[in-house]
Order: sequence, then C-alpha cells, then structure tokens
Amino acid sequence: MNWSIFGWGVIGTAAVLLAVFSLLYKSKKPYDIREFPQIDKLKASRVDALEGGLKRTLFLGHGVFSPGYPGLGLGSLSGVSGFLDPETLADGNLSISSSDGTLAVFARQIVEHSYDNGFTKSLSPIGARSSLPGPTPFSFTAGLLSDLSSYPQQGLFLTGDFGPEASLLSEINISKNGYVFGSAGTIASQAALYLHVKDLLLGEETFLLPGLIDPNSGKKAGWLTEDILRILLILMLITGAILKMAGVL
Amino acid sequence: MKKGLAIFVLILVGISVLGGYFFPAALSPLLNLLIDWGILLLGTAGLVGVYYLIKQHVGSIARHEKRFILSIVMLAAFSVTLILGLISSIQDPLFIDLMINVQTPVETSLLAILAVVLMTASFRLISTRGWTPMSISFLVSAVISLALNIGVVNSALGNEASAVIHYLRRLPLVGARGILLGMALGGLIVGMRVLLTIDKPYGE
Repeated sequence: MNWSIFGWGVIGTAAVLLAVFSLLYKSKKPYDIREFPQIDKLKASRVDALEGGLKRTLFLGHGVFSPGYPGLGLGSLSGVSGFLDPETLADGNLSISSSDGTLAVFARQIVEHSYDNGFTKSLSPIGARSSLPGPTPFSFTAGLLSDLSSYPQQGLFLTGDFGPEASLLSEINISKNGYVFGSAGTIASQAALYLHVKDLLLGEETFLLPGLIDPNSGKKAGWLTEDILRILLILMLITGAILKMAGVL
Repeated sequence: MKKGLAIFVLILVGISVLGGYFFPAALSPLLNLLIDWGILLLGTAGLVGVYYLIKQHVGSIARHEKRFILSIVMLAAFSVTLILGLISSIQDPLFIDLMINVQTPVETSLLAILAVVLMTASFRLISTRGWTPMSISFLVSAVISLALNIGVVNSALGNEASAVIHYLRRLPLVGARGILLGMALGGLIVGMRVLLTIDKPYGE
C-alpha cells in the first residue's frame, strides 16, 4: 500500500462518516461534546457588550489558506455566522477584521447574507463592518492597535491563522479591562496567547469553535468524525511504534 | 437554481483539486488551470480588500475621527509606494531600498515591543492562570528549553549527558508534530464539510 492510497482511505473514511453522522444527527440525539467553560464566558461577554453598547472586534486571521495550517482560515470563516445574531446586527458595534482581502470579502458576504435573513433588504448592512486595517500581518497589527486604543473596547475575538503578534492586540484590550477570547491554531500563537488570555481554545479545539457558538447537526457530525479519526490515528501510531521497536518495520 | 449551480461548481472544483494531488500525472493540466483561476480570483479579492482599506481611512479623515492624522500618513505612504511601484518595478533597486529602509525598521520595532509584551506576560502567567499543572509545566519547559538552547550546558557535559540533552531538545518537536497532526485532521474535516455541503459558510 502506498501513501496515496492511504490518503484516499483517510479522506474517504472521513467523507462517509461525515455523511452518515450528519443524517443520523438530523433526527437523533446530538453528540455530546466536551465542556468548554470559555464558550459560556464568550457568550456572556456578548450580552455585556450589547448592554454597554461597546465595540467588539472579530479577527479572522491573516489568510484563507496557509500551507502549514490548512483549514484555519476556512474554519474562522465558518464561525462568523455564529457571531451574527440579530441583536449584534442591530447593535452595529461588531467589526470583522482581517489582513487578507479574500477573508474580508468573504466575511462581508456572510454579513450581508445574515443581514438579509433578519431584516428588510432596503436597509444597508451596517450591523457588522468588515475591515482591513492593513494588508500584511504587521501593518494589520499596527492599524488595529490604533483602532483598539482609540475607542472603549469590550470584546476582542481572535480566530484563524495568526502568529504571536496577536498578543499585542490582546494585551492592549486586557489593559483596557476588555474581554479577550482566543482561538489559537498555530503553535506560535498558542504559546503567546496562553500567557495572558484566560479564555482560549488551543490547537485542534479551534475547529470546534464554529459548532460551539452556532451548533447544527453537520458540525456535530464533524466533531464525532474527527474524534474517531483521532483515535484511529493514535492507535496506528502506537502500533507503528511497537512494531518498530520489535524490529518488524 | 443560481445557488445550486454554485454548489455544483464548488464540489466539482474541490474534488478535481483534491484528485490532482493524488493523480498528478492525469489531472495536472486541469489542476494548473484551476489553480491559475483561483490565484486570479484571490488577487481580485485582494484588490477589493485594499479598496476597503482606503475607504476606511478616507472615511476616518472625512469624519475627523480620533487620530485621523494617522489615516493621512497611511494614505500618503500607500500612494507613494503604489506610484513608485507602478512607475518603476518591484525589482527596482530604489524601490527595494525604500522598502527595506522603511518597512524593516517598522516591523523590527513592532517585534521588539512584542518581545517585551511576551516577557512581561510570562512573568504574570501564574497570576493569570494560577498554580495549575498546565501553567507550571509550561513555565518549567520554557525555562528548560531556553537554558538548553543557550548552548553553554551542552559543552560543559560529557557524552552521556549530551545524549540526554539532545533527547530533551527533540521533545518540543514531538509535541509540535502532535499538534500538527491534530490540526491536519481538523483541517480535513472543515474541508470535507464544505465539499459535502454540510457546512455552508457562504450562506444557508
């Protein structure tokens, strides 16, 4: 068996499991995921921000695709609709930021679609703004730092593909008694944000975020499929290590 | 109907690109064409992103928002870079000099601030997270890793101790591989959810 066939096997298994579990969860009891107290705090912060009329910023990362971490950009986009509840869209204080034009365009499309769902089309989508404070990671950080320090800020939600520079953004928001939620996928961002962000999802947990804030049967099917594949992978790694030690491989 | 066509194109393109990685010989021409189209679309989206950037700063100046002076500086710098880039080329020595002498110091100063922020944050780690097994392990492994990478410890020890240190230096790589495997699985599931139209980030 070569690696190409193995790859197809993993992708095929994932596709079949996803399809089966999606159909099952449409009618049956959903998959109970692990508890994440951070998500409860994230939801509570939304209420606080709405009551206080304060700004929130959702950061989607620096790119829709990166070779080292494929899926992080798409994962962050997948979670945008979860932040766009009717109250937030009416409140007009959510800003969706990115340093990548593609992410900004996609985010705007998602916002406009959500706006159309709850409101008349004659209104313009002012509920959540999509912005691009800078076109590179560092110019973005400098631009958003300026924005964050200019206005009273309640919430900063960091998702997607970003590096340790995001800790500058979180630090300034924390210094202003704001709330910071981080979903750190890259290794560098995990290490940087772990130091000072209390509510943090690390590594593969970042892919759970869209389903945790906006659950549906498809996302829950994804969780179960991922868990099954993870267990299979662990078993294969352990078996491989044992066979290697025994001199079989 | 329009949405159905978009979903059909999405699935077709996704499966073709995926297949191209496994059967490069057979699907190479199609893969190259699709990737070229994708790059073109991404470039166009990038231009739209730049439009957002300019619009945001022009709006800030028009409304006389706080720190609108910064928006003027940004737009001036952007215009100069754009005009220079269009008149000469991005390979022109003058253009490269300007980029290196402006952008590099600015980015370096941000990195310096970042280093200070991370250092102060690491001092506050226990007050932020408390004495948990995770926070203690994080601090201890960071200190050990820093000490081992200075290089002084290694030269002062014998062969057996060097082997242990070599092993300890490789441990972070093992952790990183574990994280990357988890990320790859997560990425696979996100991609499959979109390909199978179970997840529709572009709208239900």
